[in-house]
Amino acid sequence: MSSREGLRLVEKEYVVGLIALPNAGKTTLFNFLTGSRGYVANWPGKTVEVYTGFVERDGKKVKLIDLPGIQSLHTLSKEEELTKEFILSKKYDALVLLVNLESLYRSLYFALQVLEVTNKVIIAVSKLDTAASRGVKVDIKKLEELLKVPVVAISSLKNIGIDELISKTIAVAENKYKGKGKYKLNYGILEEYISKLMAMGEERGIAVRLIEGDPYLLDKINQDKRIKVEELRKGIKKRLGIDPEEHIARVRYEEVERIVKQSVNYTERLIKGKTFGEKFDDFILSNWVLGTLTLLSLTIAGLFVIFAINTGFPLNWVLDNVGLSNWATFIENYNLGGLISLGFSLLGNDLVKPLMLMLNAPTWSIDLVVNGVIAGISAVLSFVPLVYMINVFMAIVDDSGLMARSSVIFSKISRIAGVSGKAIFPMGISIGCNVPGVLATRILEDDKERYRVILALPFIICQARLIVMIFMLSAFIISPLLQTSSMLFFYLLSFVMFAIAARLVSTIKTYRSEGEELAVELPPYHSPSWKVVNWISWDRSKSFITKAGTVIFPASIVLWLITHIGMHGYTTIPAQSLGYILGSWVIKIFKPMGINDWQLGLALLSGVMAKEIVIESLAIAFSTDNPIVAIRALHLTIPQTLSILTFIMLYVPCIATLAVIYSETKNLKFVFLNLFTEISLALVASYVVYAALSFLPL
Amino acid sequence: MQTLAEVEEGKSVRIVEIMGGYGLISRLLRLGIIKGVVVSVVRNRGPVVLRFGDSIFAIGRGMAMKILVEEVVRVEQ
Repeated sequence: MSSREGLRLVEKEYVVGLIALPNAGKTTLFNFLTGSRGYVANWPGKTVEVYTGFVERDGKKVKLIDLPGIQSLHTLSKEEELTKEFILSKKYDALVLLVNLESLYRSLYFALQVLEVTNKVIIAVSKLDTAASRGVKVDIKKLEELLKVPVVAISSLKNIGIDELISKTIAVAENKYKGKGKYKLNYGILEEYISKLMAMGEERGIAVRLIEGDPYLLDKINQDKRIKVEELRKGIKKRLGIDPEEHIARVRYEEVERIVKQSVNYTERLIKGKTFGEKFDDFILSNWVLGTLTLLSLTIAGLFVIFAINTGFPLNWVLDNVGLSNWATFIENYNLGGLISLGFSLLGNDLVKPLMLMLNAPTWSIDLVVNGVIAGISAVLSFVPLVYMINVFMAIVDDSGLMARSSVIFSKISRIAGVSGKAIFPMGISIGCNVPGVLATRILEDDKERYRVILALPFIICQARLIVMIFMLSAFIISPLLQTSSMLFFYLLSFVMFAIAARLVSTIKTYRSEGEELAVELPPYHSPSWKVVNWISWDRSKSFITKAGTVIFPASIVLWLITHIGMHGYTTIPAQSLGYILGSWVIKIFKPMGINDWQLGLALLSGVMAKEIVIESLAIAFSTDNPIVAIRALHLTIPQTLSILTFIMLYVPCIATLAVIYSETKNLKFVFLNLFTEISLALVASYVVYAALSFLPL
Repeated sequence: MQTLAEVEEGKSVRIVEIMGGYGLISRLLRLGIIKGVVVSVVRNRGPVVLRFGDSIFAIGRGMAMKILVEEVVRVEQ
C-alpha cells in the first residue's frame, strides 16, 4: 500500500464482481468502467488470471473484479469454477450481471441461477440496438419488476447508461434494495425436499442447488449432510420417477419463458432478408468440404502473415521456391524475431563485451554475460511480438464469432484425435511455434480437453525443427525426391503422433472428458473492438514475459554452464565440458542404430533449449563454421539419418514450450508426463523407422 | 418417434428424451437444451444446427441421434 492510500483513513471500498456468459461484451464493459487501468493477477490459490480495476464515485471506491465468462453454473473449466465459487461465496458487496440480448434465454437462465442464491445483483443489459434491428425489443422497467433487482440498459461503446450502472451498483452494495428478498421459484413436487434441507439450516438457494446435485456444493458440506442429500436425491428418483436436475432446469426455463413473454416484444426484423453473416453461415455450414476449405484458408492466411512478420517462415520458403532466394534470405534475417536477436547479439558482442574487456573482467564472466545472460533475455523477448500477434489473432477470431463456426466445421477432422474443432487453432499455430500454440489452448472450454491437447501439441513440428530437418536432409540425402518425401513423411508422422498422444492420454481418467461431442452456440457475427483486443493481447504478452520468462531465462544459463564448465572449471572446448559426459551418456540410446558420437548427444541435449541449437551445437562440437560440414562429420547412413531425425522431430518440446506448459497448468507432474510421453514415443518411432528402413535397399 | 438427426430442415420439434449419460445431458443443459423444450432445425447436414429461443446452436450428429423428438405445430410469434 502506498503512503498516500494509507493516509485516507476509512474509505469505503466495495467489492463488486462482474459476471456474464462468454462473449457477452464483459471485457469491453470492464475496460470502459475502469478506464483500462485494470491489472491482472492469479486468483489466490488458482491458476486462473483475473482482472481487477477500480471505479470511484463520490468518494466511494468500487473494486471491480472481472470474473471469467461462465456458460452456466454447470461448470466445465477451472475458470468457470472460479466464477461459480465467487458467486456462491457471497464475499462481495454486489454482482454486476451483464445480459447479452444475443442470447437472452441463456442469459436469463443464468441470471435466475444467480438470483436464487443472492439478490445483491444489478443487471446490465447490452446490445439493445443490435437486438432492436433483429426485431427484439426489451422492456427494461418490466424486466426490473419481474427480476426484483435493478436493471440498467447500457452500451459501453456509446457510453449509455454507464453512470446509472455505477450509481446503482453502489446503491446495491449499500443494501438500498434489500427489502425485496431473493428470487423464489416454485419447484412443485420438489418443494417438500427443499424444505427438508432448509430445515437443516441451508439457505433456499443452496438447498435447491444441493437437490440438483451440484458437485461443488456437495463437496463443501459435511459428510452427514452429504449422505442426507444423496438419500433425498435417490428418494426423488425412486418415488417421483424424475431426475431432480432436469426438473429444476425445466422449471427455470419455464420461468425464463414467462419473463421473456412479459418483457420482450418481438416485432418484425428491421433488416430484410438474410444478413451477410447468415448467408456466410449457409455457405460454410451446408457443404462440409467448402466450409472446411474456406475457414482453413482464412486461418492459414492469418497465421501466414503473422509468422512471416515474426519469423520469416513460411514466406522465405515460398520465395525460395519461386526463385527469389535473395528476398528469402532477406526476410530470414530481417523479421521481427531475427531483429530482436540481432539487437541483443550486437548489444552483447559490440557493447557489453568490449566494456567488460576494458574493465579487465575475467574471460569466463564475459562469456557468461554475453552468451548466457544476454542470450537468455533475448530468447525470452524474441517471443513477445509473436505471442502478442497470435493473441490478437485469436481474440479477433473468438470475438467475431468465427471461432464457434470453426469448432463446428473442424470437428470432423479433429475428432480423429478425440479433440474438439477449436483444437485446430493451437495445432495450426504450433506448426509455426509451439509456444503460442500452448497459450492458444486457452480457447478450449473443457479443462480435460485442454490438457489432452497440450500433451499432444509438442509433437507438431515447429519451424525450428523444420530447419534442423532441412539441414540434415540436405547433408545426407542427395535425391530431391527422397528429400521431399521424407519431409512429407515427417509432417504426416507428427500429426499421427499428435492423434496417438491425445488418444493415449485420454486413457488416463483425469484427462478423459465425458460427452466429447460438439455442442456449441453460434453467436451472431460482430466486429471485435480493437481497443479491447489490443488490451487483452498486450496484457497476456506481459504475463508471458514474467511467467514463462522466469523459466526460460534460468534454463539458458544452465545450458551455458553445461557446455562451459568441465572438470577443470571454465572451458571453451566442448570436449572438456560437462556436455561431453552428458552427450556420451545421452547418445547411448542410439547404440542399436550404430550411432555413438557424443557430439550428437550433446546436440540433442542442447536441442532442449531450442531446436535450431541442434545444428549450432554440432558446429561448435566439430569446431567448424559450416553446419553441413559438421553434420556430415557424423557420417550417418540414410536409415540412421531418418531415424535420428524422427527422434529430433518428436523428442522434447523446447524449454520455452515446457515453460509455458508449466505456467499454463502449474502442474509439475503434468510437465513430466509430457516429457515422458514425448521421449518414449519419439524413441519408439525412431527405432521403428530405423528397423523399417534397414530392410529397404536405400 | 424420431431422433433429432432425422428432422427435416425448417421443422420445429419438442425434445422428448435424451438418451445419454450425465456427460451428454449436462453438456446440453449448459446450452439450455433439456427435455420438454421446443427447438427448430435450421440445418441438418453434418452437424445439426438448431434455433432455440433466440440463439443458434450446433450439435454433433452423434449427439443428435441420441435425442428423441416429436414434431410440434409451429406457433408464429
